[in-house]
Amino acid sequence: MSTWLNRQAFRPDVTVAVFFAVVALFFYGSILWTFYMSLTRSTLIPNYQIVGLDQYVKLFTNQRWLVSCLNMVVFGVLYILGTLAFGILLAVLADRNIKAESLFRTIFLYPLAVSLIITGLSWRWLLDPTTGLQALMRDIGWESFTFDWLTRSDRAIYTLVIASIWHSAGLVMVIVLAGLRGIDNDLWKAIRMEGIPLWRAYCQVIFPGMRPVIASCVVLLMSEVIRGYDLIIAMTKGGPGISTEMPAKFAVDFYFARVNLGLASAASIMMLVLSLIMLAPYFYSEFRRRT
Amino acid sequence: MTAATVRRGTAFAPRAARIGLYVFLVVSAVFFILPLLLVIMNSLKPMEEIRQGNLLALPVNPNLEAWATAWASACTGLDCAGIRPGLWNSIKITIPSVVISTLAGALNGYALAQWKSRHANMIMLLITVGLFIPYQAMLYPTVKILSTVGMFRTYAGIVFVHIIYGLPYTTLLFRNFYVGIPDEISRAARMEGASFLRTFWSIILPISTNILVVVAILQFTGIWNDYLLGLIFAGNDNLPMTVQLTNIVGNSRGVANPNVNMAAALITAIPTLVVYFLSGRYFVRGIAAGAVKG
Amino acid sequence: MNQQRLSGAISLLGLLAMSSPAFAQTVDVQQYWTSASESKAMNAIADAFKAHGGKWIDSPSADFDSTIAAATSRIAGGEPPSAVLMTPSAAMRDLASSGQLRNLDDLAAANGWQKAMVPIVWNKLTVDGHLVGLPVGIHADNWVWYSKSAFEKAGIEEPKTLDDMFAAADKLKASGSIPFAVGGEPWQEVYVLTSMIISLGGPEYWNDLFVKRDPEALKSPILPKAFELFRKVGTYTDPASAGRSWNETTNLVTTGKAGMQFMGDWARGEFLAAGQTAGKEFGCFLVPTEKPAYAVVVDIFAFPVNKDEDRVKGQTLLAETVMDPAVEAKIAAVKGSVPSRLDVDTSTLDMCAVKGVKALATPGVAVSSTYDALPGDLNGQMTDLATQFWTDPSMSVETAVKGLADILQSK
Repeated sequence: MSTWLNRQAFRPDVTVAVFFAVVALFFYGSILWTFYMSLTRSTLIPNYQIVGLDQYVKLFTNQRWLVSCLNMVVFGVLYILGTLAFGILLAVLADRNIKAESLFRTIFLYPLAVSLIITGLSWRWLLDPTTGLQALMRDIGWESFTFDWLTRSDRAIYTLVIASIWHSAGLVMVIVLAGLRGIDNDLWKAIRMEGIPLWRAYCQVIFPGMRPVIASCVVLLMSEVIRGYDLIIAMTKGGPGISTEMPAKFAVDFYFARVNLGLASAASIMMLVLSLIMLAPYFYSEFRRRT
Repeated sequence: MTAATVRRGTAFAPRAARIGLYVFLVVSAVFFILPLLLVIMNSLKPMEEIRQGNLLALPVNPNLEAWATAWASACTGLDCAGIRPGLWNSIKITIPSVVISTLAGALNGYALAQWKSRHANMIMLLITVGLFIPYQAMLYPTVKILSTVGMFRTYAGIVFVHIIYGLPYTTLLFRNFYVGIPDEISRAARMEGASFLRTFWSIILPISTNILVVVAILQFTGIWNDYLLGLIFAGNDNLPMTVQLTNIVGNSRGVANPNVNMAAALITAIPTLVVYFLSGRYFVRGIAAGAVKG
Repeated sequence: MNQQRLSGAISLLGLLAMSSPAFAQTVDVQQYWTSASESKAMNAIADAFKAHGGKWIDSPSADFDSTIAAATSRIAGGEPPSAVLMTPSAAMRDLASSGQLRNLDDLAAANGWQKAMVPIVWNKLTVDGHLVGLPVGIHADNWVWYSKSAFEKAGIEEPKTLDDMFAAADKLKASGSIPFAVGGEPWQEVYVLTSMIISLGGPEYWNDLFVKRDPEALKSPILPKAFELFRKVGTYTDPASAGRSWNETTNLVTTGKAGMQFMGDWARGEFLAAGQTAGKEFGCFLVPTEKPAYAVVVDIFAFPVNKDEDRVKGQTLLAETVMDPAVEAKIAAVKGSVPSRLDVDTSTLDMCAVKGVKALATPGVAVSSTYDALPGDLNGQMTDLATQFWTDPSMSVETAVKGLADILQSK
């Protein structure tokens, strides 16, 4: 093995080409096929007769789709900002030489080990006003305690935000913590010698250096937002009403239960377009920085 | 460790701030623990207590009956043998999938970080797009490709699918980690005539323990908790335990036993929880790994 | 542990060696009956099938959606299951019209199945004049389940008319119970709406509206009235939790916290699991109508086209097993459904099931549930509309009626 390894040239491009071929086949093959399907009237079984952009017209006149997109934006912004802020804060605190660090770190980290289905179920149980937290508070004597967001169509989406921050804050924490632990001691020494206040040290020196790592957090969280399905299914099933519907759930419903492969494909393509728009600023800055 | 103590010690923070810090940490800890506590408590209650109402009430007669049912006698189809039969399948699918997809992501990520070309960024963008395609949109084409090469519904097939579907995720994390590593390390190896793969294997991998652990545990949870891919690509002989779990938890028109559901969910989550509880210490070790960066 | 696995593996090898005679009749069944009572029902079929020498490979998944996802991808990948548990829905019709389902005409003719089935069921299972599926049990949507203890506390009897029902709800409210238990899931909410429509309009109007989709039916005053009553039911519920499942909702009735629930007859299993008996702790009635109506949901097996002779023979044997009256009676008894054959012995069924059997056997009473009558997409859109109306008090009845009309008139 070691002689074989040594015989190769220093060619990262070959490695990239091999991997990219595989990714292109599966991911771009799927995108092309999905785009094709979005131009047809396929129901359950693919139908290869092209009818044009009908499905897109239907999609954008569908009330539920429009509400889903709006919900995704509200949810996405709150979730990403909330998770980043909370996760980074936890990482910084866990890195401040606290007592029982490993205990705290484990507690903050474990929700990542819990699947989104279980996350959604347990938060639903917890926030259900008739059996959960509200009932408990009233049982122990706080009669006026009210926390019924889960059942209110104007608030339910925030309960999804809470549950997903609970689930993902640990992810940001570990990734940032891994980065913080990699920071050189000399840098800290220099910061201390200069007498720079702590918050400025983090904001102006430490975090900028970790920008790529934080960027991967953001991309991963965005992907959760776009593909988010399990949590909604387990927690609100899109309700009350359609107040917590999201695009991924729309697509999945139409792929199978509603037997409309064409419309579901159009929805998937639009989700992809939306995510490219969301990613554009990130890639723009990456390009400029690297070339 | 002592160096760390000095550098992040109390010198920076006045006493009041330290107290505030602990209050915040404890409140956060309660927030994180509450849902798990609820699930554990209810998995220990018999059905009569659950029917009574408040899920946050402490169990009056805690017992492990629901756990026993979930493990060995809950119905998951024709069979009523709990989630036990899928355990081995889950293990044999997850381990190779995690190891290979993590290493593949590391190699690809390192290659992308090393390849000094405008194309590298473009390709990274194209790979990242893969993170935003709904799985459901990929099922049909993947089935077609795998059945063409005779891997549909086989053990090799499901492992392969997990590796491919995980590539954008792992590549992105590693690439962004390696971009931050000083170039001198690779350059030195290259000067000495080491090949790309050699450099990766002998020099880069050993200093990547931190990120390797992070990516491996993320992949571990993702693959261990996967349901849809297992159902479609694994074939009847390799169905992972999440299929049985979902059959227990998710049946929509049968009689529901929340205590058994919660116990089944907990049993399925044990391996991932253990991995998380154990992995914490590697982050501490990461301090040493970070020193290489000087 | 290791030794156990080893011996398990050895005995498995032994089994494999024994069970590969040339003419084994094998079926691979993609199905979603995974709860305890459903598993018993599926085992009733599997046991009879095995007793005739068949070999059963079980491919269970949790729900209709994942079963369809698995079945279609297996068909696409060239490894179709032998039988798929599903409903006579748009998915079945789509598979049938693209030639993916085995035509069962010859078996039906040889065994006289058309005569044995209720006409409405037969019609649901034929696509372009060919039989493409077989019923394994019948349920109905338009039941109301009630708690005897809550009714006693309120001093009321089983209501006979819609007015009675709302009067009963007032009394239940006064006695401190939740009059109607409704779970916050769209499909549970739309049940309340369709129950009101069937109650006001009866079977003929129902057929005009949902099966024929007659434009005249959309102009009827019944629709606005149904939406009004749908909203009125909402005023008798507890602050229902979003996503509360139907079983958790039924639980409110089993414990006597709530008086009534609109739900299909799979709800009976929930009462039985709580150790209750029909007519004793709980009661059931079909939503009050002038002319009786029974909105049928059928569970079926469809048989994807298979090439292996062994699999084809397995399908034939499974088809004959499913249609065996003795097997049908057994399924109904354990699962709480109603047998799909008219010639099945009903002596083992409880009073609610017997009510169902009687309704099904009376000509003109059985109608197709919206789930089967409408294409999946339209049914889904109606569900979206109903749940919006249910949760948004500012949405007017006129808007809702117009919305429903648009949905039912679209292609």
